[in-house]
Amino acid sequence: MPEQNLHKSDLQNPLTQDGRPLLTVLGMSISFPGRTIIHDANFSLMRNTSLALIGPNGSGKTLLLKAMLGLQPYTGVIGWRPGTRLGYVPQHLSADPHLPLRARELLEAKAIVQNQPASAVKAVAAWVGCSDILEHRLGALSGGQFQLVLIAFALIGNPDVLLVDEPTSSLDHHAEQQFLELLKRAQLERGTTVILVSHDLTLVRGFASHVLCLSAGRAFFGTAAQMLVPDVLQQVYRRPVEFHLHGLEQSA
Amino acid sequence: MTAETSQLYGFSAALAAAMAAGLVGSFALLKRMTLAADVVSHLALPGIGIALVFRLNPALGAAATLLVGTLVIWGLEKKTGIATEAVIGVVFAASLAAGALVTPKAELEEALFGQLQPLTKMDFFIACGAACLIMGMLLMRRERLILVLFSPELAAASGVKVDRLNLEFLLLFSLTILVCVKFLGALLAGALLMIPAATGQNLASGSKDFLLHSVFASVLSVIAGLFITSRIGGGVSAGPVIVLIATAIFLVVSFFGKE
Repeated sequence: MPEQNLHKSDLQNPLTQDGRPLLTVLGMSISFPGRTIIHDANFSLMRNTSLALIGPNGSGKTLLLKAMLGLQPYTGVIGWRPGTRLGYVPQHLSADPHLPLRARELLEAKAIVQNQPASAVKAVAAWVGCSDILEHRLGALSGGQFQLVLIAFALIGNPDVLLVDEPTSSLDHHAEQQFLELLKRAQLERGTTVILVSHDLTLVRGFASHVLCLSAGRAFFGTAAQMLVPDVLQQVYRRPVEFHLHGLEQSA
Repeated sequence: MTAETSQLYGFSAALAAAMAAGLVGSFALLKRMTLAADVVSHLALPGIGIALVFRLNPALGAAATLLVGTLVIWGLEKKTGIATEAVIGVVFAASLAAGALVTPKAELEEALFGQLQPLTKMDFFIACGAACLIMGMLLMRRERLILVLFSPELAAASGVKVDRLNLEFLLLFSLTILVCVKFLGALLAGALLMIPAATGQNLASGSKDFLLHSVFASVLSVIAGLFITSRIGGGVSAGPVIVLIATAIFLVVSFFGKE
């Protein structure tokens, strides 16, 4: 596939990267009436990095991911480098068991909507490793199989960035490992940048090059080495009150 | 034009409407619009009544109230999200009451239950044209509709304009009701969208099978219903017969079909 080869050569030759960030977030806030969820987030991300969004429950990780996808209103700037294609793997999606829809039909529908050739479905399914379940009804798939179909769905259209929400929360250990392998392969073989929401710090440590931590309305950004240290994590997870007060001062 | 020709026109238009109903109903069922089908078909009643009072074409009146009602339902659904079901209950009763009030007594039964009428060439072409338009527009939007009913969020992330698609679907849905109201009546038009689709869902595991089975069940109900009505004679309305046959097919398939 010529398109994938292009990505590979991009990877190997840093000169084709022009140094502009893939994603720039400036003064971005998400709020609901009477409540600010994220206040004034600022960070940028280069290509071929992997970003983990971490933080306590309700800190707005999923909202931020959706804002990046254009599914959630926000103020400020979320700017993707022009032409960047996004793929989305949502959290807790499940198929209605009675939905008369085969996995292949779902993938083909996306291929057609995105003007991809029909062969794209077969190629992506083979790459993900779900060719054998394409003729199954979506409602009849196991959790792990369904997740594979969702990744295949996200990869149709050959996205530059995969945005993945809590990928392993509903999977057993084996399926979780399989899923992580896929994400790593996407980075290596397809040059895909991965942005991942996760609770699982072990997973984040083994996977992310950068970490954005959301806590009490504030966003802290750094490399994995800077962020995943006991001091920072303790501040974020154990004593969120301090951040909370600080956040309120800022937004008031 | 001979009586036979105009009967034939009426019969063909009913078949075209049945095909469109099977197709639209399939998507409506998956979008969980089962209740909406009934409400939308009731919206036609006040329009028919008002048109009769002012001696206008009943189809025009039905079209007007259907259009307004559809936009109101779409707007409410978009704005509130939660209240739709409650609103549907209110609209259901209100449009039936308003329709019963304004429709002249002599015409009420026909407006409610429909009658297969001999059609003029013009009526025939309008009905068939509308049915073809509905089917064509729907098949063109098939993939986008599949994405939206699987997950509106994933559809939006894939570049589908979800709100616009929902409005387009509701308009096609109302147009289908309008085409069916003539021979099924305002009370029963919604049934021809929902029952064959439920039958199709019991038989199919893929979306293509589903659509084909639904259309087949719908067409079969209409052919059998019209045939039986013509045999019974004596002014029996076609609508109830068609709906009962569609129901019988659904029950048979549910008990003896797949799984």
